[in-house]
Amino acid sequence: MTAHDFDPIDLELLRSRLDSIGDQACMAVEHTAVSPAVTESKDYSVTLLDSEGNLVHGSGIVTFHFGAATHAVRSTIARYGEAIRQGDVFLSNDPHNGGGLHPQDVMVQQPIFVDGLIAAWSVVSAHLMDMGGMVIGSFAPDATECYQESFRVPPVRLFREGEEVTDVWDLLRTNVRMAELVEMDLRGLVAGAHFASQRVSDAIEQTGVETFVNSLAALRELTESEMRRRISLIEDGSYRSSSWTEFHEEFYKLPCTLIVEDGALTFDFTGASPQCDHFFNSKPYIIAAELVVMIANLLAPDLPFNEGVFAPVTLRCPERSIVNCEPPAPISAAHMHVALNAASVGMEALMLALGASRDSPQHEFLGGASWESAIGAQLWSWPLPNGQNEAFLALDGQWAGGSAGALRDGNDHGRNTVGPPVEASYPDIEVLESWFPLLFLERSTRGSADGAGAHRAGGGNQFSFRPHGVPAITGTAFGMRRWLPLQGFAGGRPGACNDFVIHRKDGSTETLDVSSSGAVVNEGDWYRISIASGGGYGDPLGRDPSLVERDFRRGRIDGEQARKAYGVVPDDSEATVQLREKMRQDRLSKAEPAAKPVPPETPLPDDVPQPLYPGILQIGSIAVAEQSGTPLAAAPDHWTQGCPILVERRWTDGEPDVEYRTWLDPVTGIALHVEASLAGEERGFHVEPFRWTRASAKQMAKA
Amino acid sequence: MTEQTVPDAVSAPICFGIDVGGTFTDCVLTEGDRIWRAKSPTTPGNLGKGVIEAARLAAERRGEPLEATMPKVARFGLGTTAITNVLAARTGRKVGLITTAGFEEMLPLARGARTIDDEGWLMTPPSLVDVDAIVGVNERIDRKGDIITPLDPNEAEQAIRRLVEDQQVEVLAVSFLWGFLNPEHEDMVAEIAQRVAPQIDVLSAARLHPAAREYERTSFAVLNAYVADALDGLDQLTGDLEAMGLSAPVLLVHSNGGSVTVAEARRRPLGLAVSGPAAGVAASAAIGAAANVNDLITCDLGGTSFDLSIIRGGDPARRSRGEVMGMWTALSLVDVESIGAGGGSLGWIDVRGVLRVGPRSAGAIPGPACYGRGGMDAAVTDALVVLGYIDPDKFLGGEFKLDKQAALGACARLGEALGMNAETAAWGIRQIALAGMIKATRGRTGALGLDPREHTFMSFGGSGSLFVPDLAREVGARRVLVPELASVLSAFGAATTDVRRERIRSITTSFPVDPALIGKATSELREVILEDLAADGVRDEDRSVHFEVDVRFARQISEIQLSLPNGEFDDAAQDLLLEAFRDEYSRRYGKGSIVLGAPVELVTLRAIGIGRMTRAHVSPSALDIVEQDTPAPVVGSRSVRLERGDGGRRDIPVHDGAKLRPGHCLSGPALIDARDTTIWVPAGMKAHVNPQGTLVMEAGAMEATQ
Repeated sequence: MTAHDFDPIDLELLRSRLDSIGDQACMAVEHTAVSPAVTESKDYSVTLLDSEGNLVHGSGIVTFHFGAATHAVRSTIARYGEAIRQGDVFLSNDPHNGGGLHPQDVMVQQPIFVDGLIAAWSVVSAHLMDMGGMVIGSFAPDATECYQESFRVPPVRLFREGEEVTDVWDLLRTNVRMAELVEMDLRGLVAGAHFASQRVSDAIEQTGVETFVNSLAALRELTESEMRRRISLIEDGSYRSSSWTEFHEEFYKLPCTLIVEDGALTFDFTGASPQCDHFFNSKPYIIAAELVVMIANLLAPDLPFNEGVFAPVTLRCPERSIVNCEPPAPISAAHMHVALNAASVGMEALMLALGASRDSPQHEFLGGASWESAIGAQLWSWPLPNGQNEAFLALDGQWAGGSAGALRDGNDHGRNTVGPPVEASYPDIEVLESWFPLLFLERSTRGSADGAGAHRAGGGNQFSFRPHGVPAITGTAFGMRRWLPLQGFAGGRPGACNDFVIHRKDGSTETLDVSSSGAVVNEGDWYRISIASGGGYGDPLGRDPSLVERDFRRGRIDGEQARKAYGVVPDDSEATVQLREKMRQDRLSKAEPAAKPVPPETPLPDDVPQPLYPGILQIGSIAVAEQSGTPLAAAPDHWTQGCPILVERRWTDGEPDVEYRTWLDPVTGIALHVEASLAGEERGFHVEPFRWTRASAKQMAKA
Repeated sequence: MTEQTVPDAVSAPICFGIDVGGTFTDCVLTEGDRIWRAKSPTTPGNLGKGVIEAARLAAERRGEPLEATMPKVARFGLGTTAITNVLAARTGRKVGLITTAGFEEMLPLARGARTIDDEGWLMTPPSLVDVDAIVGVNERIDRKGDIITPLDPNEAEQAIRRLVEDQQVEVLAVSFLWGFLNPEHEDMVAEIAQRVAPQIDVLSAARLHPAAREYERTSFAVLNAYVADALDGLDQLTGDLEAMGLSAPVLLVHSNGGSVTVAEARRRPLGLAVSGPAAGVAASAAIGAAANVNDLITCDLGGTSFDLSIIRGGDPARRSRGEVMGMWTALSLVDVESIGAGGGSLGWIDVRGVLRVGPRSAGAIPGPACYGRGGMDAAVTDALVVLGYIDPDKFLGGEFKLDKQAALGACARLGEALGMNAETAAWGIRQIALAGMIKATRGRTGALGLDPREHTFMSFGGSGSLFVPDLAREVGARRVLVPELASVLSAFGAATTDVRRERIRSITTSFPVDPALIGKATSELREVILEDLAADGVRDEDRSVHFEVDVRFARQISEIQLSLPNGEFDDAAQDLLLEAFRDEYSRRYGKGSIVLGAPVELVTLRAIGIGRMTRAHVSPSALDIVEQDTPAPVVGSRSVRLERGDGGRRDIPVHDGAKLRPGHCLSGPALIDARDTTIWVPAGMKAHVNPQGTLVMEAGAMEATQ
C-alpha cells in the first residue's frame, strides 16, 4: 500500500483528464506557434508537475523533455522560492543554470496557484529557431566556450503577476536572429502553458485541492512502488560497461558502473573524461532525462511516466567532467553525443544486470546497446541563384541498426527490440527529390558482417545520392562512432561503425570523418552514407546456418562473410560443421592464455546454478561456462579470469588502435563475451552480483 | 451499361440499400416515404446469398415477390466488408513486386514505422509482400519524368520469371520512382509480363494512382493486388440480379463515402476497404441534412470500438491517404477516428491497482458476461446492465435476453478486487469509458481546429446513445440526434450516395501558377472523368465535375485540400485560393502560424466527378404523426445508478421507442427503449421526435466543464 489513499476510479479519471489537458495544451501550442519545427516536426512538449516540480504527466513526442522540465522548475523554485506569485511566467534556457536539453530548447514555466498556494506547475518546452550565439540556429560545433554558443537565460520572469516584463523580452529580441519569429513561437509556448494552467485549475476546483494533491502523490507513489518492485527482481550487484565519445580521433572516456540494490538503480559515471572544449559536454539532469526514458521503455512501458519512474534512479557524475560540466564548457549539443552515449552505456550496464537476474520478467528482452549513440547526422547544402544557401538535413543518418536480442535479430534501421510504437517518419524519395537538386541511388539496409551473432544486429541505413541539377554540394557531418562501435552481448560481435564515402567520377573514393565540414561532392561523383549498427548476441558460430544462408541469398552478406564471420559454407552443412570446429580451435590457439585459470578438476558445489551472464552460470562460488561445463573462476574473481582472450585489431596502421577482445570458453573456444575497446585500456565491463562477490566469504565460512 | 436502361427517377422510386456485414446482411427497401427493413445471415464466401435473401425478405414485406420488384428498382446500392475481411484475416493473394533497384526495401521498412507485436517485441509492421518476392530492376526516371537509366527488357523478364516461377506469386505489382510522370517503364513491364506469364494480373502503380509519394502509390498497387479476388462473388450476384430484371447498375459504397460501379470496384477493389463505416457516415450526412443540421460529429459505439467522424457543411471530412494493415496508402476515405472503447471493452485492474477500461475486449465470443456465452470479465455492456441503463429483457427489442446475474457477477468480482461493490465498479467502468470518448472527441476536433460546441452530435450503434448525450454535454455541445434508422444506417447509406469518381494529377509548382498549365490539366481531367461517369451509366444531365487542389507551404510535409469549384485558375481565382489556404492553415495551426513570406506550392490537382443517382430519401416518417409537443407516453420506470454512493440510484421514467411518433416530446432524465438501442436523455435535456422520426435532444443553458 502507499502512503496516500486513493480511489481506483477517481485516480484513473484524473489521470485521463490530465492526459487530455496535455493533449489540448499541445494543440494550443501548435495553433499559436509559428515555426515548422514546432507545428510540423512537433519538437515541443507540455509537462505538468506538482508544486515541488515533480513530474506528473508529459505530453508530446519529445519524451526527453519531461525530465528536463522537472530540473527547470526545481531551479526556478530554488532561485525564487517564496517570491513566486500567481501570474508569474518563467523562462530559462541555459543548461548550466536551470535550462532545457540544450540552449534552443527553452523552458516556459507557469506556477498554478490555488488559494494563494502553488498547487502545480505547467511547463512548455520547444526547440526555437535561434537563440543567438556564433552561428544561426545556435548549434555551434566550433564553439569552445558556452559564451559563444547562445544567449544564456537563467530562470527569469517573462510575466510578473500577469504583467509582461518588457525588459526581458527586449533583451531576448536583441540577442536572437529572426527575432519576430522566435518571439511568436515563444508567445505560443506561453499560450500553451497558460491553457494548461487554466485547465488544471478547473480540475482542481472540481476535485478540491486536497484530493488533487493527494491524487498526484498517489499517482507518483503507485508508479514508484511498482518500479521499485520490478527493480527488486533484478539481481543486486555491481555491473559495469564502458564507452568513449569520439571527436575526430580524440576519445573521451565514458564508463558506467551500475549498482542495483534495495530496489534502486545507481549509475556511477566516475572515470568520465574531464570536460572538454567541444559542444557536447553534458549535465546529469540531461543524461537522466534520456536514460530514464530508456529504462522506462524496457522496464515499465505500461506505467504512467511520472516522477515515480525517476525516483529509484540516481546518477553519480564527477564534477567538471563531460557528464557534469561547468562554465565555460560549451554545451549546445548537451543532449547529443555524450548524453546519448552515457544513456546508452547505462543501458548496457542494466542489460548486464538483467543477464544476471533469473527473476526479472525483462530477462527475455536481453540485448545489446541502444542504437541512439550510433547515429550519423548530415547537412548538405548548395548555393541558390539568389546567392543564399539551401540545405538538406539528412534525417536518414538517424537510422542506425538495432542491437540483437537474446531471442531475435536486431531491427533494421533503428529502434531497439523493445520500446514504444513509432509512427512512420521517412520522407519519400520523391518528396526529397522534388525539394532538392539531388538524385537518390539507394535507401536500403547495409549488409555487413559486423554485429554478427547467434542473433545478429539489424542493419543501418545505406543511403546514396548525387547532385542532380547543381554542379556541386557541400556537406557537414556531425555523427558519432566512426572508430568505436556499439558493444555486442553474450559473445555477439560489436556493431558496424559509421562510414561516409564519396565515390569520385574517376573511380577513387574518399572517406569522410563523422565530424567534418566542407566536403564537396561534384556532378558525376556520388556519396554513400552507411550508418552504424548495434552489436550481435551470442557467438556467431552458433547461429542457425539456414539463417546465415538466407542472409547470403538475400545479398546481405557475401560468401566470404558467411564463412569468416559465421563459419558457414552455404548449402554445405557438413563443411559448415567442420569449419566451425576449426575456427573455434583456431581461436584458442591464437588466444592469450587465461589470466587466472581454474583447474578443470575443481569440484563444483551442489548449489542451484544461477545466471551470471548469458552462457555463464554461478554454481556456489564457482563460475562455469554453461555449454561446456568448464569452471572459469572462483569468487570473488571475475569470471573472465579463467578465459583465454583473443585480441583482434579493428583498424589498420595509422588508424586509431581499437581492439576487439573475445573471452573464450577454454575448452570449446566458444566466444563468451566480446568487448570493443582502446588498446591499453583495462577491461571495461564487469558483472558482479553481490551473491557472487559474497560467495567467497560464504565458501570460506563453510570451509 | 447504357443509360436508357435506368428507370426514370419517378416520384416514388424503389431503392435497395444493402450492407453485407461480417455476421448479418442488412437491407432497406424504400419507396418514396416508405421504408422496409430486413436482415439475413451473411454466408462467408458467398456474398450474394445473404444479399438476395435479405432483399427477398424486404420485397415480400413491401408486398411483392423479389422477382416482381426487381425490374422496378431504380437504385441498387451495396456496402460490403468483403475487402475488409480479406485484409483483417490476411487471406489475400501472394503478391510479387517489381520496383526500382536500390529501393526494394521501401515497402518492408514501412517509412520507419514500428509496432509492438503480440509478444511485446517492437518491429516493423508485417510486410504484405514477402521480401523475397520484391525484385529491383535497374531503371531510373527523374523528377521531370526524364529517363536517366533505361529499363533493360531482358532484366525485366528475368525479374518476372523469378517472381512467377521461383516465388510462385499469384499477382504482380510494378511501381517505379516517378513512374506516374512517365509510365513507360511500368507499361513495358506489364507488356512483358503479359507475354511471359499471361495467367498473372499486373497492376501498375502509376496507372492506378498517378501521384507523387512512392510509398503510398506502391502500397496502393500492392494492396489492390492483394485483395483483387475478394470481389469474385460480385459478378455472380450482379448476374443473378440482372436475371431477375434489375436494370439499374449495382453501386458499391466506396471508402470515400461515394458510390462506384462494379467495374471500378474491380479495378481498384481496395476502395471498398472501409465501405461499411463510410456508408454510415454518408447516411448520417443525409439524415443531418434532413434535420437541417450540417455540422455534425457522428459517434458509432460498436462492440470493440468507438468511431468518430466529422461532417462539415454537409460533407464528411475525408482524407486522401489512410492506414490499411499498418501501411499508409493512397486510399481516399472518410476520416473516421477509432478508439478501443466499445460495448465489449473490458474493465480490468492494472498492476497499480487502478481500474482501466479497454482496449482489451471480450470480442463477439465470448462477448460481455451478460451475453451468457461464457464471458467472465466485466465489459462496458455489463456495467450498463448493472447500472440499470439497459433492461436485460429489452436489449435489441427483447430478441436477445441478457443475463443480468452474469453481469452482476462479473462486476462484483471486479469490484471485490478493487475493494468496492459491483455497482460502484460498474459506475467506474462507464465513467472511464466516457472519459476516453471525451478525450478522443476533443482530440479530433482540436486537431482540425474545430470547436466541438458548434457541432451537433449524432449517435448510433448499440449503446452509443447511453454515452453520447453525456459526452456532448461534457464538451459543451447542445444538440444530439439519434436517427430512427440507426441500426440499418450503413444499408441506408448504400442507397443514398451519389457516384463519386476521382482522378488526380501531380503538378507541384509554386504560386503564382501558370493558368494555362492548370487549364490544360483541368480540361483533360474533366474529359476523362466525364467518360468515367458515362461508363458508370450516369446520364449526361446528372454528371458534374468539380476540382480540388492540395496546397502547402514550400517544403512542408502536409498539405491542405482546397476546393477549386469549376477549375478556373485566373489571377483572381489564385488570389482567392491563397486566401482560402491561409485561412484554413491558421484555423488548424493558429493565426500566428503563417510563415511570413514563405512560398506556397500547389502539389496535386484532383477532379471529382459526381454522378447524381436516384437515391433513397430521408423523408418525413410514414408513422402516424401526433400534435407537436405531445408529451411522450411513459411506459414504466427503471432504477438507474447515476452517481456512486448512497442516493446515487434514481427511478428514471422509461419510454417505449416503438410508441414514439413525430411530434412527441419528453424531458430528461429519461430512458427510451427502442428496437435496437436504448437512449439516455440526461436531466436538463429536452427531446422531441422530428418529422423524419429522428430523436432530437437539446440542452438548456450549459457550460463546457473541461
